Amino acid sequence: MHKYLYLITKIATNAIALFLIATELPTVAQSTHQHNSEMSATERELPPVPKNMPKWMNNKDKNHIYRKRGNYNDDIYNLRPLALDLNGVAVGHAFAYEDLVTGKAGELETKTFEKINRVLKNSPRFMPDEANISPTFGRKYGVLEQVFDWAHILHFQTVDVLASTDMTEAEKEAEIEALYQFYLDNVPYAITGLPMNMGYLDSQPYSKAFREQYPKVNGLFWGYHWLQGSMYDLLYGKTLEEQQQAYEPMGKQYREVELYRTDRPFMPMFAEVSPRFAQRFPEIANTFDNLHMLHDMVNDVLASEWMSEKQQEEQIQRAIWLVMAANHEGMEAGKTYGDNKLHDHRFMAGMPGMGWMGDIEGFEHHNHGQEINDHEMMDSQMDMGGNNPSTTDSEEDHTEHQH
Amino acid sequence: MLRLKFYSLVLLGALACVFSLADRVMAVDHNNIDANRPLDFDDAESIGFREQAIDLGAALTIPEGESVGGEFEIEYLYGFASNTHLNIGIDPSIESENEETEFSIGDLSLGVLHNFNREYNNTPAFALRGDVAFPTGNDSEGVDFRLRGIASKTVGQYNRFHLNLDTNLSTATEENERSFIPGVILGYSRPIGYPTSFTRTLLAEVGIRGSEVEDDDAVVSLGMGLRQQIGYQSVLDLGIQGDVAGESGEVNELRLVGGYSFAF
Repeated sequence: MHKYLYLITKIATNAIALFLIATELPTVAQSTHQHNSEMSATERELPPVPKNMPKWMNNKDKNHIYRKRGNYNDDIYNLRPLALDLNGVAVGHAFAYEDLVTGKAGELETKTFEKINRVLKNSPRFMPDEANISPTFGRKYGVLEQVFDWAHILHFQTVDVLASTDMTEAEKEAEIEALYQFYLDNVPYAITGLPMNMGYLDSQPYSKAFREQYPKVNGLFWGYHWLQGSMYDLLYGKTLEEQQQAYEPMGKQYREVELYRTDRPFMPMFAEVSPRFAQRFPEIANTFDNLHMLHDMVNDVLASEWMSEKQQEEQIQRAIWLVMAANHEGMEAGKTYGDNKLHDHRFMAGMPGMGWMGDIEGFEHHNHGQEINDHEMMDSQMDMGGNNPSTTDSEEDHTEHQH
Repeated sequence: MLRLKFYSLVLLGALACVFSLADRVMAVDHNNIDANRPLDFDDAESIGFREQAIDLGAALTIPEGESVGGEFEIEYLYGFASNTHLNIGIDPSIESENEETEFSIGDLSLGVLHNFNREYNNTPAFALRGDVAFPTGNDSEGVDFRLRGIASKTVGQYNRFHLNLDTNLSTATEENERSFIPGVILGYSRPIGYPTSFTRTLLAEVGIRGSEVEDDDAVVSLGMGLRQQIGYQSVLDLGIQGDVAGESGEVNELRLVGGYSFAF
């Protein structure tokens, strides 16, 4: 018996020693960059993180969920040049996030840009897993990673359906609706399909930091969003041959022009670049716009080095919550709820040319000093459940604002 | 001998069918590691909820002073709950002994892996895996149990270590054989090829386990492997493993492992 004990002790001791040696080594650069937290206290006041958020907003689970089964999965490879361009897209955000949280923000416009650009010019044959590329970011912002992953699956699968050669147009439309329902039903962290007030979301104390400091990398990201929006009308209602023909000039424009534009005032909006699809599937169009806006907000938070790490974590959590479907439950497109800009959903989805939607008259959101009061008001409403009932029809609102 | 040829042909035919069907199915992530694909350790992550996967493997075993043998493995995995999957497998084998070659269908195994948490900040991902093997193979006796505790932790940016602590229990043992065998494996994984390639993961392991024979020393094993995405939805794995017996440091078995995994 003592031989057993000796053996177990020997093995356990060796194992623990090896694991301790391994894990005592510093985990690389959990944000080694210096945050100037003193400045944060004096220069800008940050909106508080809402209290009483659902438990899942702090979950520590992996929560990997498999995509909806369908014989259309991966049919985007029928349109190989587009599939490869999308594979390249998957890498950019991950590289940038990883570099931002590992103290390499200073290299973003040079080394990181070159690294991303090289991948875009030599697209991977297979879709890379973003979580593998940005493990430090994933350990720090795991819930955000879940939100992104799940929305990206909706992105991929809707495009797969549109590129399918085995489905009729009616079957495609029905399956896209089923995919959206699958997206909503399977996780608590789905992004809302309501139109959001982009002017409000882009007027946080940290807003625009990323595009101002890193215009080249931001240009790449907005170029991605241009492609990710534009491809829907390119694919929608077309045969494979028509899709292939249409993607030749579009792919060229994407690779040569759109990726390198730094003169956009705002990210490309879905209804601008794919009006037909946006009109038919407004919730999906809104979901992707809100997803892209969340990307921008996260970029801006991470680029705001005047915040402490803790403040960045809090603001990213708040940004997630702002666009969560659960935070807008029971609300409808075309309505606004009180004078809370978070719940201003009057911007009709699926309307071509909405683009940079700006803000509603009467709100001085561009003034950050004023914004603090708005945030306080909004957050107190969110704490109370968010859904204040003072709704207004969009028509009334538009009339009101046309004078 | 004819029987052996028949079994081999059936096995090869089945593998060919699976490979051809697997063209349009989703791959198991090359960075998500299951035991035997190709090394012995698991990482702490389960497959996705509602995901199904098939792992196919073959190994050439070269025992010291004995004839070369072949082992196969077919395993089905299903993510039946959040962060949890079950696995059902068999491990057919071909062995040569006294100039006779024998095919065995192998033991049927059934297991569950549950991941308790993802890796966050400095906290490792933890998982527990339990397996039961039934004696369906030739000359196999008794039911074997294994309980495996798994911790996966990143060190540095892309280096990941996986500690597997095993307790094996056999219900049918010969005289002078141990029924309880503890073991530990320290696994290592790292995606390689960044920032230009995103399809490859390098693996290595060192393991120590109690010998099945009571008076023998613990066995140290070493292994190295690679998981490579080979189609846009499929992963191939290759590995080499060697056992170092006791304190003499004598290599007594070498294994060349290859496999293919896909999910659907």
